[in-house]
Amino acid sequence: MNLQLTSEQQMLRESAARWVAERGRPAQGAVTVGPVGARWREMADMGWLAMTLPERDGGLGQGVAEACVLAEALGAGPVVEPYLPAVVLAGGLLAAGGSDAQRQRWLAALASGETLVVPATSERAAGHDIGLTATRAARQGTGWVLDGDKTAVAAGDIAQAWIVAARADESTIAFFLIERGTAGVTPRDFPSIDGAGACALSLRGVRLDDSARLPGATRAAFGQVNDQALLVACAESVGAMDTLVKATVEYTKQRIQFGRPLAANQVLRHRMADMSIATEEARSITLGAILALQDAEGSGNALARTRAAAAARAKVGMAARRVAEEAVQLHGGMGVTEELTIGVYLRRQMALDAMLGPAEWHLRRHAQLRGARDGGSEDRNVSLAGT
Amino acid sequence: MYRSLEPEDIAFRDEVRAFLREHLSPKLSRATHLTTSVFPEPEIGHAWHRILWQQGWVAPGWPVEYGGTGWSLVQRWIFATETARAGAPALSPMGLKMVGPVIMRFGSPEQKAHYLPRILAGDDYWCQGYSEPGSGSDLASLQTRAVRDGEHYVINGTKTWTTHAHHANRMFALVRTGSEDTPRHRGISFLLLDMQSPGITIRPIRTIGSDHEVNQVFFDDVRVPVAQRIGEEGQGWAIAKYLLEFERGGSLNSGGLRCHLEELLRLARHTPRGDGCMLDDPDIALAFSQVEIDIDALEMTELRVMASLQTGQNPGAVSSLMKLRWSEIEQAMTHLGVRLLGPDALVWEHTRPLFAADARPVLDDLARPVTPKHLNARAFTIFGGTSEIQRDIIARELLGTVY
Repeated sequence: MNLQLTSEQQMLRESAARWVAERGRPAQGAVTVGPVGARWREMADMGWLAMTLPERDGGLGQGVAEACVLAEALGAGPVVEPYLPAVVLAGGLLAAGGSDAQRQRWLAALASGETLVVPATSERAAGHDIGLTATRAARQGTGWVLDGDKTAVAAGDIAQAWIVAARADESTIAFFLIERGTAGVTPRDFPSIDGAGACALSLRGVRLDDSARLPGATRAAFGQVNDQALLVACAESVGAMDTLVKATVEYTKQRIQFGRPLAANQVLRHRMADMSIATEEARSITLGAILALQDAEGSGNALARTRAAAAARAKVGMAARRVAEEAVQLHGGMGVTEELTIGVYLRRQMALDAMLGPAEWHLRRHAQLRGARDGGSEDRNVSLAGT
Repeated sequence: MYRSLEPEDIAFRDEVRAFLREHLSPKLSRATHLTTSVFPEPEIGHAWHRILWQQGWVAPGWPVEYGGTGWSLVQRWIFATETARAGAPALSPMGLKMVGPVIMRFGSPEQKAHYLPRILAGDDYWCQGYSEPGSGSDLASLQTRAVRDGEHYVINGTKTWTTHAHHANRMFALVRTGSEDTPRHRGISFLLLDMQSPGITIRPIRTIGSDHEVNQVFFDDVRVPVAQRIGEEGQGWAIAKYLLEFERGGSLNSGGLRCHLEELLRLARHTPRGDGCMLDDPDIALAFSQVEIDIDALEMTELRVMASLQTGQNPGAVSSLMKLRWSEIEQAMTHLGVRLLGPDALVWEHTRPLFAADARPVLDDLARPVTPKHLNARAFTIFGGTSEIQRDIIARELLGTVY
């Protein structure tokens, strides 16, 4: 057992923290960062976009632990560039299930920051449960015709391509890489709550060659990539929580009311103690889940892996929202203004929930997966939701 | 970074498991399961103490020179986790984890030579004389007075919440020495007492779960030889603070939490609800998940603290975090247990300990300790520093002292 960061991970942590401190933080009051631009290219130059992609695809072959080290630093910004959807999810899906041609065409370009691919998996009625996907992929000759609607496609407004989940038959979800400009695909762009952008996709009779399908992107492969994404989101939340606790501590120490600092009041001190406890617990369960994912890679135990990821995102998601809301509260009237950046962190946490599913949903998945592991009083048909 | 154990640690874990299979009798584990208070009766706890002592495993936290095991921190964690998950009785900490380390640090050579082997062997059963009716969280306000009379102190006053005073033959106590105008932190001394001394009376205190675990102890002109003082006169507060840090930081609790969770899961599967069992109830399943993820986080916090101790960092206020969260998670679990009982939560057994009750119980063994444990667990957020004191400590590290 060894819980220390390797020296490479330590260096990554330090360089990422330095970059975020200099370049990552939004200007006070500015919640709009606009389309991916200079900062995304800098992230590519640092090697961060290539970091977790396979070496055979021009990546550096690092794992989820490294992605989490980076994400924790990004959370302190908060950096809302599309690392999570583009690199972790789309990059992960392409690496796990893309054809050779798809990998060659997209992965190196993704790693260099030249191009952006993001997943389009959420639907309004299905929520985040990929198993409820209603978008249909019908066979036509050697190709496919897709019909349906996708929502909450983070960074979908600026992506060159989307990876769309669609139901090929009752039990099969397939993933298709669809390029911008494909006939029948209509994006509707909108700003996202965290200050970035997103889109909804309307798919009407979208004709695709079979080469658009990611041949190895099964639900199991998606489940694995999604579990990694949940941990990356956890690490990002931990970085944000850490920043919020520090900011709240500083603020309550210098803010004088009734002739003394706010931080002299026990009721406020205890609430900050609870914020700090929530942050430490979030850090712990994230680390535990990273190690569990590493173990599951060896053992191939997908159920243990998904349960660990659901546990972490449930715990961290709840903790992050509570810490962000407490930070707003303890900053008083200023906390609800755009003149402070406190609210930016709260909005980013809400964006993470909207992208990957709220904490309570992950808690329910965790509970359902216990049934799948232990059995209740009878065999039950448990949906491995989101996997 | 990796979670898996090194081969030598796996071998150690297997050795511990084999030992537990051989020596942890069904009688001991049943009695532990049916123990409704924090520490089991001496006939259970002391029996296990002797078994571990014979194996040389009774004091993993002690230095080897005093009879410790010489285990690494990982091995100590494995041992604590495996024994707790196997349902082994908790050992009384008053000797091994409290006064023992104090004697090692502050005791004279004679005191070490006399007391440490007796603590190790379980020859003495210790209780702690700290709190008083007027001194709870504000311990330094204690009033029990020791007045010097030649080679003795004469003690008058009272101590309360004295766990197992009715079983103990020894007490370590904080008493007020020096004159009335001595600053209060400097007027405290640390004494070792014989519980058979004339002038000591014990009044049992029954708690809301019907347990008799704690007592009030009265001192009327109790004479204690000066040689039974630990450290200098007036050094008691410094010693007490050292001990409190040991008390808070020295425990690994996630194994016990997991054991309790497994018991509750068994109860849930065993308790019918409609055509199925209680675990089929989605609300119950969610409550289990909430507890489980809280334990996951606490377990990893323990491991992180262990890792930081290994590299020489100071764990700081995280020991307060661990005590606080342990107590809250235990309370959440006992509450879940009561929910699982449903109408059976109306049943009450007065007799303690439950394992020795001879009447035919209304409930089975899985269900019997649930409501008493829920009531007993109300004290978890109070003893060893209330949750409010723990939050004060965490806030002081976070914010400093601000007026």
